[in-house]
Amino acid sequence: MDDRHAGMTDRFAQFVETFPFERIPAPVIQRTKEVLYDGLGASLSATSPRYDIGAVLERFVRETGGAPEAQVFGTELRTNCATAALVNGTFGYYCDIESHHPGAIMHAIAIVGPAALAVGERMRRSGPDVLAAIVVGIDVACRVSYALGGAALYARGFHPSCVAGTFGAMAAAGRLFGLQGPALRHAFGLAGTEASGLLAWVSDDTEHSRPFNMGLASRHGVLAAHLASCGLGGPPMIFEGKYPLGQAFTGQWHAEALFDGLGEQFKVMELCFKLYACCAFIHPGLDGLLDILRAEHVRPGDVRRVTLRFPASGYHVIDGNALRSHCAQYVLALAAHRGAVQFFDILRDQRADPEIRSLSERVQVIGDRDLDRTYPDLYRSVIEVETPTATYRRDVTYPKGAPQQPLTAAELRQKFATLTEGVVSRERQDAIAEAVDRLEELDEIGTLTHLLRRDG
Amino acid sequence: MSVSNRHDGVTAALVAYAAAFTYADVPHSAVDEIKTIVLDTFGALLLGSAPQYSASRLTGDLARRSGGIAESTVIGRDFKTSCESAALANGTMGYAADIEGASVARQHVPAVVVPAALAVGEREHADGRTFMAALAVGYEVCARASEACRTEHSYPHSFHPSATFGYFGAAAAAGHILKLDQRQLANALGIAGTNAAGLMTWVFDPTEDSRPFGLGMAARGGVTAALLAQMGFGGPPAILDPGKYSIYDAYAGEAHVERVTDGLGESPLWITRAGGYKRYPCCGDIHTGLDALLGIVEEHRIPPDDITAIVHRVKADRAPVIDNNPLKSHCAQYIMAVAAVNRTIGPNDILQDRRADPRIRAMFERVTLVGDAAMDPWPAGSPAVVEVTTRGGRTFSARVDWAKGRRENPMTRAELEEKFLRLAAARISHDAAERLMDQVYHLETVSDINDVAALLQVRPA
Repeated sequence: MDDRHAGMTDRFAQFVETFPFERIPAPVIQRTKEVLYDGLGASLSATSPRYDIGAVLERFVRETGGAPEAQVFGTELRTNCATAALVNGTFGYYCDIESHHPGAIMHAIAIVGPAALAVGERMRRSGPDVLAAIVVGIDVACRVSYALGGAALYARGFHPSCVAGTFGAMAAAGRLFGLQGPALRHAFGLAGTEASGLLAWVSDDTEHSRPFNMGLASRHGVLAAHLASCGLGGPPMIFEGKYPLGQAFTGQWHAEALFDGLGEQFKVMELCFKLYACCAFIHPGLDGLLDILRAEHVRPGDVRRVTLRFPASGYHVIDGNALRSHCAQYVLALAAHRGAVQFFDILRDQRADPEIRSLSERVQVIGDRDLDRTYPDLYRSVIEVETPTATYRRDVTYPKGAPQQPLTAAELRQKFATLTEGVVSRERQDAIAEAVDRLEELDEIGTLTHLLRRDG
Repeated sequence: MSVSNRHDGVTAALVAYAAAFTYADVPHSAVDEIKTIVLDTFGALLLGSAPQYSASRLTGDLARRSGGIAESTVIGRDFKTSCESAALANGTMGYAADIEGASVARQHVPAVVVPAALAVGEREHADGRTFMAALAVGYEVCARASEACRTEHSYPHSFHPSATFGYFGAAAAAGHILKLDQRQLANALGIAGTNAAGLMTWVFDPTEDSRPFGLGMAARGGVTAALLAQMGFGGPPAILDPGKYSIYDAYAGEAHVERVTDGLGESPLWITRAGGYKRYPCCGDIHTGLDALLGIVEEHRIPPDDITAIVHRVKADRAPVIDNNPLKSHCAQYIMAVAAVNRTIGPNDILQDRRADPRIRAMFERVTLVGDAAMDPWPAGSPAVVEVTTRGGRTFSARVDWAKGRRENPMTRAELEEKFLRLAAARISHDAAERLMDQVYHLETVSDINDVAALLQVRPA
């Protein structure tokens, strides 16, 4: 370990405890609200009765019970803040269509958002308090992931979002519990003691354990902060010492990632919005594919072969994955025929449609060493579509929804409406949008969370 | 990691075994062993539930404040809560005093598995036989997962095996009581395994709160996983199989997958191979040193003030964790110093820093721990050689291979009962402790484990 970073847990914690709302620039506030709004759309979508996960988790909440501190999204239930974070965090990633940070391999809002809302509601915190907690929580989650090495986490089989996300949820919750001094350092330590999350969910075709890991990260972050606020001790220097966090999870630790631009460059600004309900690795390829079909007037039936080149270090995640959401062959064939990738079509195998099935067998994924140079910061992909008469090629660096290619307010509204169709009324959709829009003015975050209960 | 595919299917094999396991599969000879484990763990839980143990007090307070369906006892309290919340508090208590025994495969199994089985058993009104079978299954799964990951190597890796692999044991024990079928049990182990956690960093937490908390999290993690699996939640169905994103890469860096199933259903159950019971509330690796030291000072009647030096030799690989650890329970120098002066070591010596006493402070400075590589090949797990030098210039030496209480050097029934009654006395009356002991000795006739759990409740004075 590097001596230059002595005391780094303490210094990083200082940022969490002291960084004021007033120092968050207006564009960062605006983007954070968009990220939250988009994340709520994704979460509510997961509570649709056409998915089975909502009923299971609702039963779990009913059967375990809890003090009515925080709203469980899409239900009439309120429960304790840790359980609310568990369930809402699971909903947050279920449809895999909320924003994410590619470089940090981090589904930050799915974890940090529910933690901040649940604890904010319990502590009757204001809109600005919750916004600042989310900004800081997302920063912490992404920075810890960078420090551990996101790619190295993957290589060991850990899901960066869960391991590092636990710290993000803890930081957001810690601010809202008002943790100061040693208690916050203890919360960091407790978060490390609870952090985990394997990628083993790739073999779970129910797609339950995939988002559940996010829910657990959210709950564990809340729990760490809550217990520390009650006085529970923890290892106060989790990033340092004989058994540091890095040693357990990757064997690496890039301390500078914690501090570079801290308080000035905000990770929330680097989040990518998703238009497709599938692994973000496939999004640049999807943009290229759909653009070819549209711009070149190619009919899906005319596609002979699709070749997707993806960074060599990551292509194995999307090449023939048994999980449809992470299977480029499936997703590209689906998109070619349906023009979109919705989670319902991920969950229910659409290869019953012989055209989709046939095309999926003609999609090839190639690991490309050249593309590796900008990975994992970028998922730059090259896609080729071969028809009987021509071959079309697109080289896509930034997918639609990336910070370099932002979605407009109207596009965000449209996405929210599509996701929550049949879950919340048009009226409720408008109310949620309005509440998020004037979050800085809310005296109590409960005004927003109350709108996330079951509609009708 | 390159692992051949010949071990694909080990999870399915273990799950098939565990899902079909019943009390009838517990050998007659093992029943007494299981009862002793339960008795010893109940003693540790009662002592650990004392409010002086801040981790127990705080997780118990949180359980009360967070609410929950009143189905499972929070030990040492007067309320019930949801089984998963109770599992967190009770699992934390289980390891709070570090005096529970019956470890196996480097796992503090009972601290995790007994609370998990008890909490879910109360929810389901399980009978005593089901409870005992759940413990056997929990031990089996926990030990096999730990062995397959060869957890003796995971300490330098930073993971705490008792926590990390405790998730599997808790899920299996809870799953047994919930009567999970094979698919559900595979899911439960998968959910628990993908979330298994617990770092060794607690050795830098002088509050000693995060040490037991890691095991409480394991107990709850397994219970949550089993509950969800029963409700239809999915999980990775082959969590102990090698391959992409396996537990072996994540937690161990090596894989001995054959150990998941070796001798399954043939050789003795893992619960019958537990390593024995602890007489002292501290890290098990210090017990041989304590026995040696107390043997010397008692045999030669050496007053503390006569001692000028204590050299405590242990295997080289055992030294790092207990060498000047800021945690008193894991600090050989501290433990040996207190014992040399007081001729005993008790829970209060861990809860309070006795170095305020100048005699103990001075003795602490005179203890040297040596990690001796020459001892590494010795067959015993944690042998110790202790040399005590006196003012007169004499040196007395003693070697202890197996601490008193270990399977190889067992405590008598009377000693075990005395230990239980002494620990239980921290929270419940002698009369109640006797009744609890009687219930444990007749577990096979208990029709509802709630009747036993009721004796673990304590009304505020």
